[in-house]
Amino acid sequence: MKLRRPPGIAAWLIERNSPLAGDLLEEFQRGKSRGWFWRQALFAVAAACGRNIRVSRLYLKSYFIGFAAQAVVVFILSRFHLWVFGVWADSLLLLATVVLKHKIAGGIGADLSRILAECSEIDSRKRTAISRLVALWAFTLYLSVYSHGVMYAFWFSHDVLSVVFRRIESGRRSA
Amino acid sequence: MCCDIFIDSEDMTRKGYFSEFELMILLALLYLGEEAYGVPISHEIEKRCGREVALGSVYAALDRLEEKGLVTSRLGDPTAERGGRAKRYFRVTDQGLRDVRETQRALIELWRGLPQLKEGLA
Repeated sequence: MKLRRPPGIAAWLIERNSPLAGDLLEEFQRGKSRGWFWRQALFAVAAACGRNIRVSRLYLKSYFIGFAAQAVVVFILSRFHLWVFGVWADSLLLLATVVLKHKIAGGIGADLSRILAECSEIDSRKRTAISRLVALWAFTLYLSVYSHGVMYAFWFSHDVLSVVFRRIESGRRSA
Repeated sequence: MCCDIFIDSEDMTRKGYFSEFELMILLALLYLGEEAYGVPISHEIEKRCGREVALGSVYAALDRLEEKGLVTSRLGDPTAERGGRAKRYFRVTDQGLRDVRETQRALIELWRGLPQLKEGLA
């Protein structure tokens, strides 16, 4: 019996999941169309990606919750001029933000690599190019973490300087 | 409490509940017995429920069920028709069977005493 050849790219997309690829090929040999094979392959890739995106969505949610909570705390502190407490709280929030973002960047990076790996059997040359892209992407995220750190350092120094100036001012007035 | 934020969504699925599609797959596995792999599972659902299913979504649901410990899988022998690829046979575990019975009991309980549903009435 002569076996039919399935669409090459569609077969490549699902190559990683061997039992699924076998099932699709079995059905294709029994007379299913090339269009059917394509649809099934795209559904399979979408299902694999959807699963990873669900995990990433959780990380993103925690990212936004963390930032919303931080914004509320900073607003309350600035509203009541609790500068002494504010400095400490800012330092703690900075630490929490760095920890959160590292965790999130790592998590999303891992998910992205998993999505890419799920999509196909990636050969070593492509894997190197993709890992470079992921590294660049993670670097930009880490950069945002440290730029945030610089912003906090600026706020911190601004708080300290304003206190020093206020004291100098009040010293002058009393003199 | 802050650690709760990072609970993996995979942990969140281990609640003993399953979706309508997962239940269909579990029932198809029970119908098919030892011969349950991707192709007959999708055919069984198509035949009994009258809707076409994508094999990718069948495997995605089976993977979730396997993570929950409700099904197990083993690889069969490779065949030429499948391009030398092995079949992955699935079987419902004792835990899976208990959960299906529990769902059946709960659904019967919910249906019991419900007035006849008529077209156009919500």
